[in-house]
Amino acid sequence: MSDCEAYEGLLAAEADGALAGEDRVALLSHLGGCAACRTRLDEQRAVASLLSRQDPPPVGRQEWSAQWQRIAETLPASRTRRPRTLPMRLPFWLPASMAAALGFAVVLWLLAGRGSASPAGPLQMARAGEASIEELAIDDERATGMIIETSPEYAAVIWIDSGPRKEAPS
Amino acid sequence: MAAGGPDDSELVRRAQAGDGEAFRLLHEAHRDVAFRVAWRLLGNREDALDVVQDGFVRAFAALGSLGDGAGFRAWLLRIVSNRAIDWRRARRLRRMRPLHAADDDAPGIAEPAAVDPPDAEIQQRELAEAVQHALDRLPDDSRTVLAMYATGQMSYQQIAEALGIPIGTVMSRLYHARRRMRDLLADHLDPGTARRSEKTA
Repeated sequence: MSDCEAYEGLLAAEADGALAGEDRVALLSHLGGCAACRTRLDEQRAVASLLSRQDPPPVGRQEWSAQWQRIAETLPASRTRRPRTLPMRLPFWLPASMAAALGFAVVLWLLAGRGSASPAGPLQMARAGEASIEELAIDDERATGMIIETSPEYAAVIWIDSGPRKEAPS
Repeated sequence: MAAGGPDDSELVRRAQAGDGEAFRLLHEAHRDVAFRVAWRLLGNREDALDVVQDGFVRAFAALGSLGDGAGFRAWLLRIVSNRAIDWRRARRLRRMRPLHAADDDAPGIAEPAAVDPPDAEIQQRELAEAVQHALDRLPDDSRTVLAMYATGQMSYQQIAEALGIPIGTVMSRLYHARRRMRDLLADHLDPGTARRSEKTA
């Protein structure tokens, strides 16, 4: 290896401004007495400058976005799944559970009503089943019934007792 | 990478755990530099985009094998540059196919431009073609180093890590690549530089 060959890599680094320390001192010392290496340094700078002036063609955001979509399709589904939002449909078990809860509440209410003279217990339990106990007046006869709203337009009524007619307050 | 955003180590760790958003952020952070390397190696925008896409797909598929997430960029660029070299070889083979078997791939005759581009644009285009032609004639290893450095975003150390070679080898390959480019682009370089080079060659 000639003396100049030992400086080839350093010439590239010096052209890029990436040389420092002892290596740079050694190169500059060599360049002081070597016209050929000074020319080679100019060459390195000229080619580096030429390449740096060439920008790649632009790529738009939409193009990158489309590329990402294609890449994402190759990933396992679990890696690209978005966080789940609340389901739009009610889970299949919800209506059945509500019906069961309502039935249970009715049974409890009936059982409690037989063993207790107080209307407070049955009323509370009936409310837990999304129903309401109300005094109803039909054909001027009053009775107690449980109203179960099935929709805003419809309600089911379970007759419980035909109570004595109450006197209107005077 | 945007200032203040998660660094590569964190993104790689999250991606390895299955976080889809982390994959997207890795793509967003490194797609430009990957494209610059691929474009410099291939000289064609569409081919470069295809290689970048392929490089990301391969990198993400093998992400579990990447130990240190901080080295993601170097690792990705190594994959992309290898894919670009493979792509070039395949492209060269396609061009060597008999004409009757390659009608679909044959470049068509360019439609005449409706309006002639200005002289400066023509000169720029000719220069770009000359540079690409010179790059095409470099050995693969020198071209890869030159392409990575020409992105303006990689240090010698990062290139050395990406290619798994000593930093001295990076400098040496860079030197020889530029020397060869100077010979091939003598007409386009500063006349003074070219003339001096001829005397010392």
